[in-house]
Amino acid sequence: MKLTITRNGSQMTGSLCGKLDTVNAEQFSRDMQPLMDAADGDIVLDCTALDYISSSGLRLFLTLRKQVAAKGGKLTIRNLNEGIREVFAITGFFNLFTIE
Amino acid sequence: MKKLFQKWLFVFVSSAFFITFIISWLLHSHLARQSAEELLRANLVEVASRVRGTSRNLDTVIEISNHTALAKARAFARIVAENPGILEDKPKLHRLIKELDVDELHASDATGILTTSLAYNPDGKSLNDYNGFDMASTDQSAAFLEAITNPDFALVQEPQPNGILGRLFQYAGVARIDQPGIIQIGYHPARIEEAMKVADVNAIAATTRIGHHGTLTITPNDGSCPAEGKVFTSEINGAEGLSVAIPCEQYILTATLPQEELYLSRNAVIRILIIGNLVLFAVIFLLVSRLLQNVVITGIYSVNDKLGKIADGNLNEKVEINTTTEFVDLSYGINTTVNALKHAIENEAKRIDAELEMGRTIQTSVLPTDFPDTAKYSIAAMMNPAREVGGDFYDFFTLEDGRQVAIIADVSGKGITAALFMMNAKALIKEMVLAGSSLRKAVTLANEKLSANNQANMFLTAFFAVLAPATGTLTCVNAGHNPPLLKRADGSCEFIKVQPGIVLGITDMATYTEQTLTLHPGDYFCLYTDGVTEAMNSRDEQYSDPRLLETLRKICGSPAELLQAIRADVAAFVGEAPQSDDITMLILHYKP
Repeated sequence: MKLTITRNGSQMTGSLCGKLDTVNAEQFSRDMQPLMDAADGDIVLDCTALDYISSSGLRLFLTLRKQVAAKGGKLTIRNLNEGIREVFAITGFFNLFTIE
Repeated sequence: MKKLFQKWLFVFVSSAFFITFIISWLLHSHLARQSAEELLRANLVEVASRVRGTSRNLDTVIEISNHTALAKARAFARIVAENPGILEDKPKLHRLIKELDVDELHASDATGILTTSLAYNPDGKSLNDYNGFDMASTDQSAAFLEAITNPDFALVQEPQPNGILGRLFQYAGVARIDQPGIIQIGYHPARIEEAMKVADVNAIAATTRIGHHGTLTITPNDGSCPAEGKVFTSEINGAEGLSVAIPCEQYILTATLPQEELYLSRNAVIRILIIGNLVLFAVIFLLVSRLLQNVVITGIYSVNDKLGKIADGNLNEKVEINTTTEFVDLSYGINTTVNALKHAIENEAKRIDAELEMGRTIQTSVLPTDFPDTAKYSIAAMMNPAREVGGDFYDFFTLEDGRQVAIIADVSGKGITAALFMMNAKALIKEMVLAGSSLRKAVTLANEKLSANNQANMFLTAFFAVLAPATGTLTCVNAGHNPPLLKRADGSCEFIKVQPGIVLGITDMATYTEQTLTLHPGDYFCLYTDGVTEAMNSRDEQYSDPRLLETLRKICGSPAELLQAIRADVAAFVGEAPQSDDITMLILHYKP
């Protein structure tokens, strides 16, 4: 799992690469701290290279969503692959996130 | 560190070199000056004594010579008095001039006119005739006129250059005894000339050596002797020098040594010193560097190397450097620390293991094990927890109206938190389902309660199924869980198309929908968690939905047998890879 954070003006983009499973969820939660800190702004999670997400990963997405909602920012998830779309569909996450 | 040390070593060594150089320079300059002064003074003393000696010698020679001259003049006067005829007797006069060893014999009358004169020219052969010469006609000869009137008169004149050649010549005269007149002899004062040559200060100056290139100058003492006996710098022929001057008799003696020669020995010493010091300091620098390298740097690198290995997690690494006591102490200190750390980690690991064991106990102890097996249906379930406690659970119980409830759930996250959340959720769900008028309402209510005050953002996916044993009607509610499998009595298998539903615990606004399907006798209804389909092998491949479907299609038997077969296939697929998630399954068999 690798998270690359880039800043483009007021928008922060976190690009995920690899598998976000239970084993590396803890590391990811530390890596995404800059995004948590910028939760009052415009945040994009680019999942083009995200191969897999476990329930622990989903939980971290939820944590970020909750923080953004609390601080008045905006969270957008982009480029989910088919498998993860399915996960999002089953778990009802489609209704919770802005997905492009 | 080595570079730093070498830098400072270099600074110190070069400072020492520089200071040594300065001190030597000053010391040797001083010594050179001092020895030059001594040399100059010694030379001056010697020259002064020579000047005095020759000067005295000259005086003595002049005195003796003058006495002799007077004696000869008196002898000539006595001979003339006793034998006046000799003045006319040329041969006798010639003999007499030879016997008296003089060059000229003169005798005048009472008027001062020379009546007899015999004078050899400087060649000693030809004669010069002064007969009739008036002694009063020149200042030099007039000095003898007093002899005519004073019988006691005697005069020896200073030697004077005579004639064209400037030959030194001297006259001596006395009064005539036989009659008033002058008796005079003239001669060349060879001894005096010789003594004067010896006493010539210019000759002394030319023959005196001061060191190699030093000079001695002798100048008339005009009362302005510069810094008598003191050293002063001077300039001779454009070269700077060191001089000492002293007055001596009527002269000033000045001895001068050129700077170049003065500092010749100092420069030689300094050159040798520089070369010697450079070699010495280079050796010291190299030796100390080398020593530092061997004793300290190598040790430190070795310690760093070991510490790097220890930091990489190899706590069995030992530091053993025995070069110096300090390193032995350091090694001992590091080893002790690492050992203590190792023990602490082991203890912590034991504590964590104990905690994990407790979590696992919590998780497994709440799972029902009295699997129902009635005439219409039977249920089997299993849960294999991963090493780290997860939050999967299954549950089954019967409602008051005899319907059978089966639930499977997967709590997000790991650890004690997940286990406690799971316990709470399981109890809450059971309570709601038992009390609720409908399954949909029970799930909605359970979600509301779980969502309230959920600080940890925990959530769970769950699938609820309620079987009416008499009709085979299965009422289902899905809360974000994996779609169940249905294995029909004819052997066909399929994933049930479930209604999507939001996972439990995130939002209290979620609503759920019920769906019903009908089980026919001999059908198997199979619930599982993603621990099954997403079980990973060492090549990072997932067990996957299709494989689960295929496995289920191939096997038959009691629910317990199906569970075992699927579990065995998953285990075979995963191989050596560690189990990362709980593996939980529940199979309901609607008996034929």
